[in-house]
Amino acid sequence: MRTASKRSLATLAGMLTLSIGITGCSGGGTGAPATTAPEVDLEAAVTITVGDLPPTSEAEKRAFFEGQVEAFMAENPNITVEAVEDKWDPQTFQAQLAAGNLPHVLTVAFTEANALAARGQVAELSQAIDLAGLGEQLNPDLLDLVSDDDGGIYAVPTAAQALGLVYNRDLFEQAGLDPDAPPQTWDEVRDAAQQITETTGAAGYATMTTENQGGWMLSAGIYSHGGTVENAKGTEATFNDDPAAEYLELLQAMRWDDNSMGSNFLYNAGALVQDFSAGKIGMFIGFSGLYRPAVIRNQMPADNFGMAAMPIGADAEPASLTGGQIQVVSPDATPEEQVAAVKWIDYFYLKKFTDEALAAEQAEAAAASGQAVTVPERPAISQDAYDQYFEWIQPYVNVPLENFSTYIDAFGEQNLLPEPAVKAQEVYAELDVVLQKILTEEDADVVKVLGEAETAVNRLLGR
Amino acid sequence: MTAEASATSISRTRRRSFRSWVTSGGVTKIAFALPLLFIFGYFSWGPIVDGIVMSVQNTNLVDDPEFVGWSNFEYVLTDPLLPKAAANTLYYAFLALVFGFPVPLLLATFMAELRGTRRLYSVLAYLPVIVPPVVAVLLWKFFYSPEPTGLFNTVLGWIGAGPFAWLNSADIVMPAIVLESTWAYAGSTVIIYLAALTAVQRDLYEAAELDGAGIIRRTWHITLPQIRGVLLIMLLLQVINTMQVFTEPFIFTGGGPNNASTTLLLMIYNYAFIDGDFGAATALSVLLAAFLGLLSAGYFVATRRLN
Repeated sequence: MRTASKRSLATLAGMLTLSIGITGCSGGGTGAPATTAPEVDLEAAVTITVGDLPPTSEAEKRAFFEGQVEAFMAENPNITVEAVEDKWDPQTFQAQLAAGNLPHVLTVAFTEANALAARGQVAELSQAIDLAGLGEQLNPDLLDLVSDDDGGIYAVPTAAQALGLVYNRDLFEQAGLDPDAPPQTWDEVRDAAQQITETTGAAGYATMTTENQGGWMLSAGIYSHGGTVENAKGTEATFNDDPAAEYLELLQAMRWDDNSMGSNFLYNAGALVQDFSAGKIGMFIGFSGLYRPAVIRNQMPADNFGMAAMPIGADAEPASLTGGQIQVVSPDATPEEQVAAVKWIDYFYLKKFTDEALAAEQAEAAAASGQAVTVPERPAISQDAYDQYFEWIQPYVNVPLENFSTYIDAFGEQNLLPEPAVKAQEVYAELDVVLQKILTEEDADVVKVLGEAETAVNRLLGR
Repeated sequence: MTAEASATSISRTRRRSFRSWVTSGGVTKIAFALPLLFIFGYFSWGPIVDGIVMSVQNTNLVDDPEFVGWSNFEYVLTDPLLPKAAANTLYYAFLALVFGFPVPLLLATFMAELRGTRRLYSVLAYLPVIVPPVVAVLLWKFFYSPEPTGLFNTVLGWIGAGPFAWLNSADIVMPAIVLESTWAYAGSTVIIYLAALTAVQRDLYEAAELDGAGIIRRTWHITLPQIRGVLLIMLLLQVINTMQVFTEPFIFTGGGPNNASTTLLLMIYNYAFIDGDFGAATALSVLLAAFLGLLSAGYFVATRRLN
């Protein structure tokens, strides 16, 4: 019995061997920004590997990506780009890091930035960003989130979003609710959820609860009630208070009194979006990018996907948790490779916001390959540049942008709050348990559950 | 014989024995063994030693590791989740022992009694083993859907039972995982028992049948004592393997709900890949390995008499 677990152990053990072997001879990791900037030859021939190449099963997306690689190399003859399918995955990341064969560029969630920087597992990029001429374009608020106190920049933010209320417009209509006037407060969410469940039998409201995504969503709920998760320095948990309790009590009431949260309380994002696309869930907290798995992959009719601003708690100001994607560069990259990597990041992810021809070309190619053009997000560059970009790509837009209007309109009115400053993923993992307890134990004591989580998080932060 | 002559004779004997060792294939033996020793040492023993070393270090896998003494062990041993994960792991091992251990034995005993259709049943019993573990778990996750329209809930609904929350219930989650594991892994154990059963002398059964013994008495007085050695080894292997359960809770629930299916290996995984804390991960691995080592040693001493 149970050979699989042995295999997992063997993998871990194998990794440990590699790690010892490699750490012994690497030793040159990048920690803080270099005190004396090394000489960089910008004309030197350099080869970089970039991750996130779509797999062959997504042939059209892959062809688009490969086409962009060719175009980039034509524009930068001294740079050779090798695209690989590696994606961010904490297991393979650590193993590849240890073995010294990480791709030079990899897309990672915002939450990972601090931990990776603190562990010295990504390159410090301030010099490369300067040399690639990228500095001024980037949204300074977002850049702050990936910088340390000494001015070191550890990633390039390329996509940002604020969490909001994703809802199924078709279920809203079936339940007699107006899909163009989605709930704005948590009380309205509760009423709408009840109405959806009563009239359609679907879960009115659901939430992610596993793989740290539960903690992420709980944090968003706490923020929307005026609370916080950690103090600014990330040394102490701050969620054992009224805002968090209010949100959990609301969930408790929806789960146990109204019975409007369905029967599955072990959702990760993938499974939740799957059930949402199938019309089994009315509303959940998520980000606009989930349009892609819902509509492109799961074939949910595009008109059914609605996105509204983050609901507001009883006595709270409008607030939303922001997050997004960053590009990190391998700590093993030479200064030349770092510059080439940043140039690629600029070309593939950001240049479209400042180059009309490229914007139109990329949008046309993306639309032709069946991708969503394009889901509104919080701009990774300035708001003006972002608005300008939408004008440039207007002819190719295939996403019903009007279904996002309340979400977009709220950007100016909301406090956009960053994720917990220190060990966000670890803290989220602890908060997963909080949500699971509230949703699976009928008599769970909110104060006690929060107290236990506070102890656990403080222990983590003290490590 | 003088001392000198004696020494010459000994050295000649040595030379002859070395030569005969070489001519009888000694070098070839070493040549054949070397790659195996290297691979075993590098890929099996190497990681074990490295894991032990890493358990007293703090490393980011990039810079040189830092020696931190026992602090990783202290951190792990004072983790409030540890008692729960240990209890969950023991509970899983216990359930697997009570339900998972007898099932293959019963199946094998039953199948050994069959004449013409034994092969067919062997294939049927072994089929689940061929399904990759991850696929099997995802399949069962679908069966365990908590909705009243879920597969198991629908079937149980026909006799008026349920609907059950399955993986969403802290009380049912472990038995549900054990049920899937038993289904998934019983096949390979059945094959081993079947092989052991073929070694039992048929005339013992014939004699017992003449004496009027039924299948239960034949099993109790002949089959079990005859395959005792295999049974004891399988029992130990099962305990060691179930104490290392990872794939099922990881894919089914991620340890939830409320950590009701968080096992020791899942904790190790979370230390390593969520927290990036390889020191704590290897410290807990070393503790688990030490515990299993002691358990195995104790088991061998206790069962020596039986063997």
